[in-house]
Amino acid sequence: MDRPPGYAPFRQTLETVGDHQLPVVRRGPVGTPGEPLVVFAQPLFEELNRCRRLTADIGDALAALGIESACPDLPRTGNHADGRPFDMEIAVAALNAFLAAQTDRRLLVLSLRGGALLVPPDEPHLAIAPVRRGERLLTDLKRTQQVGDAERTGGAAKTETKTRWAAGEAVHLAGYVVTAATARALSAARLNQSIGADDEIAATIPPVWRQADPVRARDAARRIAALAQARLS
Amino acid sequence: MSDLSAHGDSDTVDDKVEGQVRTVLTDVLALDDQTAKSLTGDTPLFGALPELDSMAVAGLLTELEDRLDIIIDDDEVDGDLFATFGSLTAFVRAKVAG
Repeated sequence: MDRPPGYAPFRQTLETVGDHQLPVVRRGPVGTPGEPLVVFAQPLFEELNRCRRLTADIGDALAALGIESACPDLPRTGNHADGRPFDMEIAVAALNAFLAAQTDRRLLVLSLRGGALLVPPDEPHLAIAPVRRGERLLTDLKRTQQVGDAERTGGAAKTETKTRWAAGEAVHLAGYVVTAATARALSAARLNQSIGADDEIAATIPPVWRQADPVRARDAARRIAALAQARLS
Repeated sequence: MSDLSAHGDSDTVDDKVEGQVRTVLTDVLALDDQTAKSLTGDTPLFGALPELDSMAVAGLLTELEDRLDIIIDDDEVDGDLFATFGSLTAFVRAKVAG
């Protein structure tokens, strides 16, 4: 397969932006001022892990088109050194700082699922299968915990969330600690209606974010990359 | 005639719902074509399909809500709901019918 000049499949770096140090995977040509850069805003909680391969495949597809991409792991997600419970405010601040640090580049934020809720409203943004209301993510976590509770205890135990969050406590749900602050932030989070979500392409992507063993979706990745290229041109 | 017509419409809606439930199951559980096509009303789901674990159940419910524009109360979710493809489809049909 022919590769565009400067093609580099993979570079893993630790980048300092503002007060944050972020592990970042970059793919494609090393960009210079004026050239496009696609920045990923990854899904939240378990969906991030399930979308890892799709994200990598989109990055490879962008690289094959001669477009650099950067995929930062935001604080308290993915491979970030800070493993404390996810904090939406910190994640938003870190993404903002990362975007601000990409000086003189033509930026497009490509979000997957709940990542859309972290993106500043004035950034060029392509949202893939976005979560439009953050409370849907909480519902997913609570349901998963509930089904697990029922299986484990025969329905005798139920994880109480509402009163514990109201009391300022953190609650362990489906493998993740959800603080009262994050529960409040997610409950209030709404996708900006002006975001360029592409419903047509979303309908053609297998919902890998829900699959225990996510399928490989290279064709979907190529379609998403082509759409990103069109948005950048 | 009108009764027949109404019945026909009802069948169409039922077929559509069954098709959507089958598609959601296929997509969320990443079922192969043969398994997806072989699902009948009596096909056992929870405990029989290895792909359907507790995390998948939660994902299935949310995906059904999103695609069929329904709301499923968590109190409605019990072991019987996912007993068979028929029980799940009947539940969703009732939800769609309001």
